[in-house]
Amino acid sequence: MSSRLATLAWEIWCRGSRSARLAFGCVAGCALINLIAQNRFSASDFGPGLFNSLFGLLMACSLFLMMGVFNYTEFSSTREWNGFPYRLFTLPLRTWQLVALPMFLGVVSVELLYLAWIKLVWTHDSIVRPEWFAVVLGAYMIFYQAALWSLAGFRIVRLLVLSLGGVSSIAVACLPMFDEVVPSPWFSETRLIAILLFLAFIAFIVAWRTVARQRCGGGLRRHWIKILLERITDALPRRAKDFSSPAAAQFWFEWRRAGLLLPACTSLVLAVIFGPFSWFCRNDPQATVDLLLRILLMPLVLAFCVGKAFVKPELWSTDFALPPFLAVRPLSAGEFVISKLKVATLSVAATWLLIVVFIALWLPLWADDTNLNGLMVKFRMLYPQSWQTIIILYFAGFVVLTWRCLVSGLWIGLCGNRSYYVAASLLQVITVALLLLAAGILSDTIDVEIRDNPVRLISIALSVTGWLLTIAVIVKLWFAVFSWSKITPRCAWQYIFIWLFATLGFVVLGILSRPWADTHRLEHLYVLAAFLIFPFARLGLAPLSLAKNRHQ
Amino acid sequence: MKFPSPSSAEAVVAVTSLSRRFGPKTALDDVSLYVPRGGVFGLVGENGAGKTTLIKHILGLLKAEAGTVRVFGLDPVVDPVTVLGNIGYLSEQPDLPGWMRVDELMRYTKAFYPNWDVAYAEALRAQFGLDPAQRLSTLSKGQKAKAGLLAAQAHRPRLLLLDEPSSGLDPMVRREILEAVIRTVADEGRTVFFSSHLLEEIERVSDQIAMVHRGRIVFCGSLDEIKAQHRRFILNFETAQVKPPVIAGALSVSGMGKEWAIMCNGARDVLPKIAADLGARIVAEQVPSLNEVFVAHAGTAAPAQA
Amino acid sequence: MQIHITSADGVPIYIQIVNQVKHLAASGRLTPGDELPPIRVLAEQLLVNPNTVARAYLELERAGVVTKRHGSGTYVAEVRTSLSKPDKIKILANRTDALLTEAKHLDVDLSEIIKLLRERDELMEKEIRK
Repeated sequence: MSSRLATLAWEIWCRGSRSARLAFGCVAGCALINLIAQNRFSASDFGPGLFNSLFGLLMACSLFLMMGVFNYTEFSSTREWNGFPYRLFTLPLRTWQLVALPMFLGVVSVELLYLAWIKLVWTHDSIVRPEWFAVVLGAYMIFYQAALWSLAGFRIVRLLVLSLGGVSSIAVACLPMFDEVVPSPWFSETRLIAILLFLAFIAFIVAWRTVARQRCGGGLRRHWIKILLERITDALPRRAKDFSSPAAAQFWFEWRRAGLLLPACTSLVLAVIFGPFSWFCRNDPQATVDLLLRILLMPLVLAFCVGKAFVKPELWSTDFALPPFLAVRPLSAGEFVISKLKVATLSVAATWLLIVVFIALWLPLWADDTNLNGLMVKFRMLYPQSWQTIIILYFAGFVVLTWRCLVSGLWIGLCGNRSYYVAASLLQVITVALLLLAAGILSDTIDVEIRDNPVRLISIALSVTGWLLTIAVIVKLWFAVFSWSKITPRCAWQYIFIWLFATLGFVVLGILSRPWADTHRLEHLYVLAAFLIFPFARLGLAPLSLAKNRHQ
Repeated sequence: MKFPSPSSAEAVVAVTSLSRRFGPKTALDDVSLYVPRGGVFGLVGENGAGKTTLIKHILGLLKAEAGTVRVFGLDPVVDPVTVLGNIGYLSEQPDLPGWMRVDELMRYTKAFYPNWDVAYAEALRAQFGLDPAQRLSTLSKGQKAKAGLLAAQAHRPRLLLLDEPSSGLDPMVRREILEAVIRTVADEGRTVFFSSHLLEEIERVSDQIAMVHRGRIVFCGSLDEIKAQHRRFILNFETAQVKPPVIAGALSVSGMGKEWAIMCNGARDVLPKIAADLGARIVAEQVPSLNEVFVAHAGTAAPAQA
Repeated sequence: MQIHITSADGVPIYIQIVNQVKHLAASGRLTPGDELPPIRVLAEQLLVNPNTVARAYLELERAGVVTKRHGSGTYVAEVRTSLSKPDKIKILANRTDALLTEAKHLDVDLSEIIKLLRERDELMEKEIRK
C-alpha cells in the first residue's frame, strides 16, 4: 500500500514540480538577498523597509504557487466539471487514502515553505506568533482542497467560496491581534488554534464523504444558471425569418456569443453595487457627484476586461485558434471582423443606454443633487454658448472609448498566438506599473520642483506632451496607411469616413472645451489628442491576423 | 506507379508535390493527387499518416509550404469564399457549436450557400429524426454527425469532403453517411472525397482509392487497378525456413515452416524466378482484399515505392 | 429484388451483382419483362457506387440477360438468347473447367460430381415449380 501512495505522491510532484521549484526558488533568492544585504542595511531604516515589501510580495507569490501545485483537480468529460481526478477512482485504494494524501502533502509543503521563509529570510524581524500563522496556513490549505472537491459541481459557488475564503484567511490570521484591542477569551491563541484544527478535521471529513459519493456516481453537476438562461432564451421570441446575407448570419452568431456580455455585466453592477449605494447615499450631495463619476467610468473598466476576452476568435473559450466550424464558412476574414465590430457597437450602445436610463431615473428621483447643480451652474458660466455641445461630445467620447476598449485588441487576439496576446496584456500592465513606480520614485523631486519653479515645470511638461502626441499621431497615420492597404477599398473608405467624422467631433470638443484662461498651447494638444482617440491603424490589421490564423 | 493525372480542367482537386512539416515531423512528403470530377475518391491511411493534414490543405485551413493545392482551379487560401462556398465538409469530431439549436443551425448555414435546397434539407432533417428545437449539445454523437451531414449536404455542394465521418458511430449512422455519399455522386458532376479507416466502406463506394502512409502516397488508382497490381502468393519451400525469407520487392512476408505468404506489389513477373532461386514453388496466387493490401503497406517501415 | 453483397471473399462487387441477377432470372424469381430497379436506386439500396451498378447492368446486357429500353429502364430479357449452340457450349465449357480444376484440388471423383450436378438441378427445378 505504501508504494501505491508513494506513486501517487510522485505523480503530484511531477505535475507540480515546476511551480514547486519556482516557489522554493523565490525563497532561495530572497534568502540570498537577505544574506548579502543583511550586514549593509542593518543600520539604516531604508533598506529593511524596501526589502520587506519585496520579500512579502515574493512570499505571497510562492504561497500562491504552492496552492497551484495542490490544485488537485482534473477535467472530467463525463461530468463536465473540474473536480477530483476521476481516473483515480478505479485504483485499488480507499477513498480516505486518496483524499488524505494530497491534503497531507499540501499541508506539509506549505509548512515547509513557511518554515523556509521564517528561518531563512525573515531573520532580523521577528514574526509574532509564528505557530498561529503556521496553523492558519495549514488549515486553509485543507479548506481550499475540500472546497475544490466538494463544490466541483457548483462552479460559480465554488469561485465565490474560494475568493471569500481567501479574503477571510487574512481576516482570520489577524484575529489574535484583536486580543489587545477587545480582550476576549475567544481571541486567545490557543483557543483559536484548537478551533481551527477542529474545523480542518471537519473539512477533511466533508471532503472524504463528498469524494466517496462522487466515486459511486453521485454529486452531479448542477447547471442552475445554465438551465435558467436556456429557459429564458427559449421563452424569448425566436427569430423565424431567414438571414438576408452571410454577413447578417455571422452578425447573429457573434451577437449570440458575445453581444450580451457587456450589457449584462453593466446591469449587474448597476443593480448590485451602484443601485444600493445610491439609495444609501441619497442624502449626501457630494456622494452624488462621486457616484456619477464612477458610473460614467465603470463601462470603460468593464469594457477593458470584457475586451480581453472579446478580441479572441471565440469569446467563451481559452483557445486562440479559429474554431473549424467558423473557419470553413465561405466568408472572408474582413467580413468576420466587420461582424465583430458591429456586435461591439451594438453592445456598447446597449450598455450606455442602460446607464443613461439609470441616471435619468436616479438623478431626479432619489439623488441629492445640490452639489451637482452647483457644478453645472459653474460649468454653464464657463461655456455659455457651447455647454450642451460639450456635454454631448463628452458623452460620445465616453461611448467611443468604451468601444475602443472592446475592439482595439482585435489585431492581436485574432492572430491565434497565445504568447503575443499575453505579451500585449503584460505590456499594458507593466507600463502602468512602471508609470506608477516612476511617479512614486520621482514624487519627491517633482514636489520640490513644483514648489520652486512651477512655470518651468509646466512648460517642460507641455512640450514633452506635445512631442509625444505628435509622434504618436504620425506613427498612427503611417501605420494606418500600411495596415489598411490590404483591405478592400470600399470597406476602407467606409471606415475612413467614420473615423474622420468621429475625429472631427473630438477636435470640435477639444476646441470648445479649452480652459477659459488658456494659453495658445493647450489647444493644439487637444487637437492632437483628438486624432488618437478613435481606433484606426490597428483595426486594419485585424483581417490580416484572422487570415493568418485561418490559413496556418 | 503512375498517378492518374487528368487535365486540371477535369480535376476537382489538384494537389501537386505538396509537402508539410510540423516542427521535426514530416506530415506530408511530396504528395500529388488528382481527384477527377464526378466520382468518389477514397483516401485510406493509418492514424497519423497525414489524411487530415491533406484535407485541411484542400479546405485552405493549412497553407501549402511547398507545392500547390488547387480546388476547382482556385487556391483555397487566396480565394476562400468561392472555394468554401462549393464544398460541404463533415469532420471527424463534430465541432458544431453546442448552444445552437438544430433549426438555428440550418438557418445559419443556409445564409452562406445560395444553392441551399429548403425542401431537401427538411426531408433530410425528418429522415435523420432531428428535432428542430433541440440544442446541439444535447444530441448524441450519432445525431451530431447527422446534423453535420445535413449542414454539409443540403446545399448540394460540388465537392463533399468527409474526414473519417464514420469513426465511432453505430452502423445505422454509417449507413446514412454512405447513402449521402452515393446520393451525391449519383447527381451529375458532383464529387465526393472520403477518408476512412473502414476499408469495407471504401471498397464499396469508391471509384478511386489512394493510400497515404507516413506522408507519402503508396498507391492510387481504381480498385481494379489496385487488385491487379497486388497479388498474394503462397510459396512452398522445400526446407522449413526458420527466419522469414527475404524477397526483393515483397511488401510483406508471413507464415511459418514451409509455407509462406508473400504480398507483392507489381513484381509478379519476377517472382517465380526469385522463388525458384530460393528453392520454393508457387502453389497459389490470390487476389488480396483491400484490407490485406492496406495492412501490407502499413506494416512497411518505409513506404514502398512502386 | 433482393441482392446481397459481401466484400469478404474478394469477388468484385459488380460480378456479385451480375451473378445474383443471373441466378434470380434463371430460378424464376425474376420473370421476363420484370423491370430492374434504376441504377441510382439499386446503388442506394446496396450502398455501392453507382458506377459499379452501371457496370453490372452493362455486363448483364452484354450477356443477354437484360435489355435496356431507351429512357424507360432495364428489363429482364426473354430467355431465348441469340447465341448459337456452340457459343453457349463454349461459355459453359469455361465454367466446367473451373469446376473440374477445383474438384481435382479437392480430390473429388468425377462420378460424385455428376451426382452433385443431378442433385442441384433437381433442387433448381423444384424452386422454379414453386
